[in-house]
Amino acid sequence: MTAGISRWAAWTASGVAIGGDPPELTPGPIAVWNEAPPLSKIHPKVRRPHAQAKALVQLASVVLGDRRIEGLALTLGSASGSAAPDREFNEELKKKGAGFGGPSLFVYTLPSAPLGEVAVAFGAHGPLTTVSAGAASALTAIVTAIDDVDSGRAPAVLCGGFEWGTDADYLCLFLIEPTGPITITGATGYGETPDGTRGDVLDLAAAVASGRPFSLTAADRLGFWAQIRSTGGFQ
Amino acid sequence: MTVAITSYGIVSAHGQGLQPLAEALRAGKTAVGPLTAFVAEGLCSNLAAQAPVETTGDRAFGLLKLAAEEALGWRDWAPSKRRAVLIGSTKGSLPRVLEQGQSDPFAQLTAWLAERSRARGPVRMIGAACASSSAAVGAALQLIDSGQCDEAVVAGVEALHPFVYSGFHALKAMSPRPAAPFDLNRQGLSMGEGAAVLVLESAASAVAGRRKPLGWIEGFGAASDANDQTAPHPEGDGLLRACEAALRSAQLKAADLGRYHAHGTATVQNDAMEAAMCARLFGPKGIPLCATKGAIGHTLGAAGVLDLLSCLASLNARELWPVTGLQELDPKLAVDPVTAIRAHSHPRALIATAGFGGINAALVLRRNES
Repeated sequence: MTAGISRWAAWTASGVAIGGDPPELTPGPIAVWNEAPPLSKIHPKVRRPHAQAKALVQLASVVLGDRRIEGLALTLGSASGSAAPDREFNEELKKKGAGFGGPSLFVYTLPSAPLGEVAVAFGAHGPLTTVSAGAASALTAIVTAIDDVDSGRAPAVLCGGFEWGTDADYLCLFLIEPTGPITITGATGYGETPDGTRGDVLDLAAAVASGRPFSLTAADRLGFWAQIRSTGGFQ
Repeated sequence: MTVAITSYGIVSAHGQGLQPLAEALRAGKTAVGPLTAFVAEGLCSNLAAQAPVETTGDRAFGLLKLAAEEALGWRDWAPSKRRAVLIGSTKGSLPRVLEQGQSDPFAQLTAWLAERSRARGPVRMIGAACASSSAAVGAALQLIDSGQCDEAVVAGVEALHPFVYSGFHALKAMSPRPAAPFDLNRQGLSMGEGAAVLVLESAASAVAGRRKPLGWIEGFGAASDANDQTAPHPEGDGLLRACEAALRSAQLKAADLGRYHAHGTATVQNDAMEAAMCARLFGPKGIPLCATKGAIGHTLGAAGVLDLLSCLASLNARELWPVTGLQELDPKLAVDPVTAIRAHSHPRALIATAGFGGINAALVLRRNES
């Protein structure tokens, strides 16, 4: 299996990192990012984006840079998905009445909506999906991205994970391509968790940044698991 | 890329099982009627296609259990690391988020189906807006085709909920009368609910288990419009790419198909987009067009698998069934919708789904000839 991580970035309550060591996952909403690229520059078509979609587009812009990859696929893992916009739209209905919910907010009550915004902003014409597998969601998304690139189904995949409106919010994105600085492999399953260092998507970013081969397993109490390894070390 | 369908279960607005749905589709009968599940006062519609089944607790979970028992109940399931579970849904168990303060509306559904089928391989929920369950079928095909799994239990589920109903009202996407796909006077969609569960296997696995294929899924493709969050690309760019990818994966051409099973939501924009896409894919010769949402409403994330089973029933009957709700074809749409039952022996169909975010997916389905 040959697929590699070529770029990554993460955004938590502690701050933003573009490559290098990821910020710590600390409680609360994501930090203010003063140097964030203005949406008007990177996605001029957008109308009234939800904050979740806006943040994802901004982080995607620093991972993709000026690159526009024909057929780029998008896959993100999330357990909470659209729970935050769901609650906001529900509150709006309670406050204003069933007939007066805002259409622009309702659009973002789909877990895939932030990715749809990324697709529009960066002309990504490949498949677009979100994946939910409890605490293993983000690594599951990355494993499917590795599969897609390795099998030739996609030339590249922008993948990773996000949680929003939870105890500790984060966004973390990786660009997977046929060859990258680190070759990786992955597997997913249900039930008994295989051996491997426990971790999540931010630990993957740290492992990639460390420059050492790694084996990382995310597991959920319900039984979902995903495992990612660097097989060939650095190219 | 060919996998066998060896079992299924379905709950639609025409009841439990595929037979009542098939009979209704043959007769062009709609299940869209007055909404009774909750109050829709002051909204642009008070209609819906409700599944006439009793469930307790979370409605989506109840619908999934009914479809799953029909699909899985007849077989002994030994634990297997080479069995996957994939579910497509937009909102899953939404009340868990809105009423119980949970953040994850999907994990309970997926974990339950994994335990019920004793799957120990990849288990996950797939989100792709209204193409979610088609994308789940596609993910299953890829897991089986790559040799990672021998079989996959694939589901689509969606329950009616006032939250979603109000949202589609806000978008002005719902019709005050039953949905009429491709009709001159179409005014939008009718909301629906339902669930379907498929067991998909490699041919070798089906033979080894002595399970008769009920149909074959031969190809899958997906692509994004990258054009707008809600409006489809007016010329169907993304759907065309998805259909072409499905045909490529099936090693087929458009001329090898016998019918096009449309997403057919009956919104002005969707149906115009699909007509434009059909003209590009099938050319002036066209192809018979079928659609089911006039009969069972739009079941959002479950639509892909409900359409797949509806299409399989008509393929196995060697017939084309009318587009329920269509009375007068919109003359601006250069398509050939089926308006009355007719014999049709071609074994193969292309099934399309499209969703918000510009997401598109397509499946190639063939009946089993033996």
